[in-house]
Amino acid sequence: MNPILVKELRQSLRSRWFEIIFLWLCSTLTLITAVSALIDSPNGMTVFFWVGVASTFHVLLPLRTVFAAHDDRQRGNFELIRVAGVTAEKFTNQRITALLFHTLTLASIVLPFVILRYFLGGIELLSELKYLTLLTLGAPVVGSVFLWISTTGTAGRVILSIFFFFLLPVYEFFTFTSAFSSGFLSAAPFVVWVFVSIIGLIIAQAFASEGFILHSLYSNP
Amino acid sequence: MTSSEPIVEVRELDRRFAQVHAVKGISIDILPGQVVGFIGANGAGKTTTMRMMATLERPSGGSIRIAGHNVIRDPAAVRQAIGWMPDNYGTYANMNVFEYLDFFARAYGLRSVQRRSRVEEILDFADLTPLADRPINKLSKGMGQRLCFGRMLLPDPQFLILDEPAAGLDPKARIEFKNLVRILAQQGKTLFISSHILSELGEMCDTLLFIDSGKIVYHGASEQLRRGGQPGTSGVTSTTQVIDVSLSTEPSALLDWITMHPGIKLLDKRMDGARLELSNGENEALAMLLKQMITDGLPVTGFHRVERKLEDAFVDMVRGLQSPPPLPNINLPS
Repeated sequence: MNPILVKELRQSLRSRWFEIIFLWLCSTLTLITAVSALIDSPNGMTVFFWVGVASTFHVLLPLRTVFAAHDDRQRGNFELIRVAGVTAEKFTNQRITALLFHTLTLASIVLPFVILRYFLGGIELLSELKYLTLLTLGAPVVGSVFLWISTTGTAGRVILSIFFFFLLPVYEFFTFTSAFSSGFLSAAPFVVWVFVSIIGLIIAQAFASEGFILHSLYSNP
Repeated sequence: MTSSEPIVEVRELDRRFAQVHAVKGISIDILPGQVVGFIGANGAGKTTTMRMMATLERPSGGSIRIAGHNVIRDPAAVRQAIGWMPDNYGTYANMNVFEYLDFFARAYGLRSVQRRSRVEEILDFADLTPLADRPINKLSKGMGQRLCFGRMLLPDPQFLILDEPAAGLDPKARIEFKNLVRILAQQGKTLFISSHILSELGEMCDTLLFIDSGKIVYHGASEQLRRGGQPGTSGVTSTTQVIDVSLSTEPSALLDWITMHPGIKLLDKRMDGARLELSNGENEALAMLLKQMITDGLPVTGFHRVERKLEDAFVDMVRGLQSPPPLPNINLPS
């Protein structure tokens, strides 16, 4: 099992960041579900429910990955990991794999809320489960882009951030549409989503790895 | 590689940054089993040199071979042969001692039973077994340093690079650190230790390397330096030596005796003796001198070398390097 993943599963689940994200997600979903029950309309709260989940999976968790990687560089751990034989590519891949596992952990928290919403009535369980799956699988894609941005210089960071924050809502739109559209209409967004996810993941990981090499090794002290 | 072949060969190593020429064409050979102290002021080029050896910095010129592998062409093989302990060694929060070592053991590619047994060996060696479950952020500086020392030893490297390992340690932790170095030296490991605390390195290392403004200005044994060794020499040339002579009478007879012996200079006199500088400070010359004094009837009651502090020796040496001559390739004595 890869060392970063083992470390992340051991260490990061105990970290302050993860505690905050965990509590944020639980309290937000509990509140929204409670309000849904009170107003007797889970469907009316769908947007709030899924914005809470999507912001956690596609903003907070990727940010945690970026800060963890930044911390590795600042504390000198990245160099120790490199000397131990873990290449920048492996480092990036393992961080993204760890992000996927963290997202899966949180998805297991979201799942009972989805089922509860189903029992409260008015929602389409299959679509919500599909959306939860796509959000979970999309987290590594978004996380890779976050990592890539974090490894660029100031100018690159600004340009990429602006570009990315225009694209992120588009990506989220395709994710949402893929899950909630029906019939022939659902196929097209889903194909686009899969294509964008795979290409985005490959490109972002490659550039993030290159960025770690450029900014951590063979550079000015 | 036989034991007489260098484990580290540095040739014309050069490193330039945008505005700074940090390392200027240094050449070093280090033999297996040597404990080499690497000394220099802040900004002299120590860390840059060590980082290049640790495959973390790319040289602008020259080459480094460690255990027969080139650091640029074959960094993966070099990394298996070295242990690297930077001055600011990293630790992780929310991790205990065992988990930390287990993490790096995994990174080094050790698997299951082998990994567990190696981690236990390291815990035992670094005297950390009772602390295995303690969170890293609850360790003292000395314990943290022992942990990082242990991490460095996980792959059983032949060549250990330690950058300022004793910085910030209390006296007890320093003694523990010296003991660890001694044990590793006895095991035949080659150690390359940087510091600016010269006396400390003088005790631990059998060879010293001084770097100043990116150039090696001295190499040789610490004893040699204390006795006033010249930069760039390897301990075989004649050196000056200060000696302190005590007599049972006032020193006029000694002063007269000095005038008849060229190569001896009076530095200081006192009521019961004098301090002299000899142009030849070799052991045989000193023994002959004492014998001659007694034969000539001087009432000698005390005769001993005056050892300079390494710090003083270093400062004197750097002062004397206004325009240093170009250095040849260096073979460190074992």
